[in-house]
Amino acid sequence: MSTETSTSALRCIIVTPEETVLECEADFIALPLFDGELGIAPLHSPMIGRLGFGELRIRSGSDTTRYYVGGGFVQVADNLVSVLTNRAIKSEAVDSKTAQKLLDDVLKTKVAGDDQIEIRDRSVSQARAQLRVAKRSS
Amino acid sequence: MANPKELDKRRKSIRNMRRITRTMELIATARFKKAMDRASAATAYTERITQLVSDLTKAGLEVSHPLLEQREQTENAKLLVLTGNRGFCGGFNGNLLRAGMSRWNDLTSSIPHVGAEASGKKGIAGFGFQGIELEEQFTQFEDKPTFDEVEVIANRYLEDYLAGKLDRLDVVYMKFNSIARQSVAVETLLPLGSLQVATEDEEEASSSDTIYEFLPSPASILEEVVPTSFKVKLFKCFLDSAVSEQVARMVAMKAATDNAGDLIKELSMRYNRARQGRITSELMDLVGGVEALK
Repeated sequence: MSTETSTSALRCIIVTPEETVLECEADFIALPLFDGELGIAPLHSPMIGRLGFGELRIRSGSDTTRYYVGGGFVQVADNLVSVLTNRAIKSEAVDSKTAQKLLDDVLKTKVAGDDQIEIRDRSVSQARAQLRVAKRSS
Repeated sequence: MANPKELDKRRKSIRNMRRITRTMELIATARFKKAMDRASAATAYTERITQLVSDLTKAGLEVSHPLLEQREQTENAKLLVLTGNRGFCGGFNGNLLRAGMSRWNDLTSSIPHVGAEASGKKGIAGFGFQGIELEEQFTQFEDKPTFDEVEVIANRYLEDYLAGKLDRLDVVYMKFNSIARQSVAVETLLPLGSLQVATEDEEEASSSDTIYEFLPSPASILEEVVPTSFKVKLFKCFLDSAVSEQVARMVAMKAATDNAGDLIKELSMRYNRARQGRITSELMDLVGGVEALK
C-alpha cells in the first residue's frame, strides 16, 4: 500500500489454471465485465468483479494488446490487476471459423428446461464474443 | 563350470536391456521436467483464487453454497481413480489401485449407489480384473492434461451434484510432495469441505484492510468462485498425478539400469573366471600330453 505513491504504473497479471499468460505493466486496461466493459486506470479503487466473455485490452504507451477472455474474475488492488480466467487467447489467435461453427451448432440444437437454456445462452454469448474479438483484430 | 559362451550371451542381452531402461529413464526425466513446469505454472492460479476467497470472506460474507454443504444422506457416491496409461513405473499404479480398492470397499459397504470411474489404462484394467464395472473411463490423459479436458469431466460432476444425482465424489490420485516423495491421496472433492482458506495465516500475512468494491455482489462472485475452485482442485489432481507418474518411472528405470549394471559386473566376473578355467584346463591337457610323450 505504501508503494503506490512512488510508482503509479498499473501492473497486469493474467492467469489461467494452466499458466500465467501475461505479466506486464500498462497505462490502461479495459476489461469485459459480466454486464459491460470496465476501464481501469492507475490508482483505481480496490474491487473484485466477475468477468464475462469478451475482449480485454491492455494499453501500454502507444501499443495495445488484445486478448479474448472467457469468464472468470478480476481483482484490483494496489495498482495490481489480476485477471483469473479459464481461457485467455491473444485475439489474433482466436479462430473465427470454429467460433462461427460452434455458434451455428448451438443455435440449431433444441433445448428444454431452464438449466439447458442457461447453458445454451452461455455458449451462444461465448461464441459471439469470440467472433466479435476475431473480427476486431482482423 | 559354466559355459563361457552362454554367459557372454546373457551379458549381451542384459546390456541391451540396460540400454533400453537407460533411455526410458532419460525420457521420463525430460517428461517430468515438462510436467513439473506445467504444475508449477498452475499454482499461480490456485494462489490467486485462495487470495480472492479470503478477501471475500473478509468482506463479512457468509460462505454458503450448495457445493460446500454436507448432504444429510449420502445416496450416490462416485470414486475416481487416476492412474497411468503405462506401466514400468514401479509401484505407482499398484499403490493407487490398492488405495482405490480399499476406498471402494468402504464406500460400497456404507452407501447404496456407488459408481467407479478410472483414468489410465492400468486403472481400467485393474478394476476390470476385480470385476468392478466402470461407469466412465478415460485414457486421453497422458503427461499433459489440459484444463479444457478436465473441465468437461468437472462440469459433468457439478451438474450431477447440483441435480442431486451425486452426493459425494472421492478422488484417488498420487500426490506430489517433492521429487523424493509422492504419496497416495484419497480426497473427497464433493462436497467441497472448505475453500482451502488458511484463515489464521492469511490474516497475518495480508494485514491489509482494503475494502473492495464488488461487482455485481459478493454473493454472485462466490457463486462463481466455488465451482471454479472445484475445477481447479480436480485439475490439480490430474497434474499431480502426471508429475508423480513420471517421477515414479524415472526412479524405477534408474533402479533397473543400476541393477542391470550390477548384473553385468557379476556376469563379467563369472565369464572371465570360466574362460580362465578353460584355458588352464587346456594348458594342463597340453602339459599332460607332453609329459606322456617323454
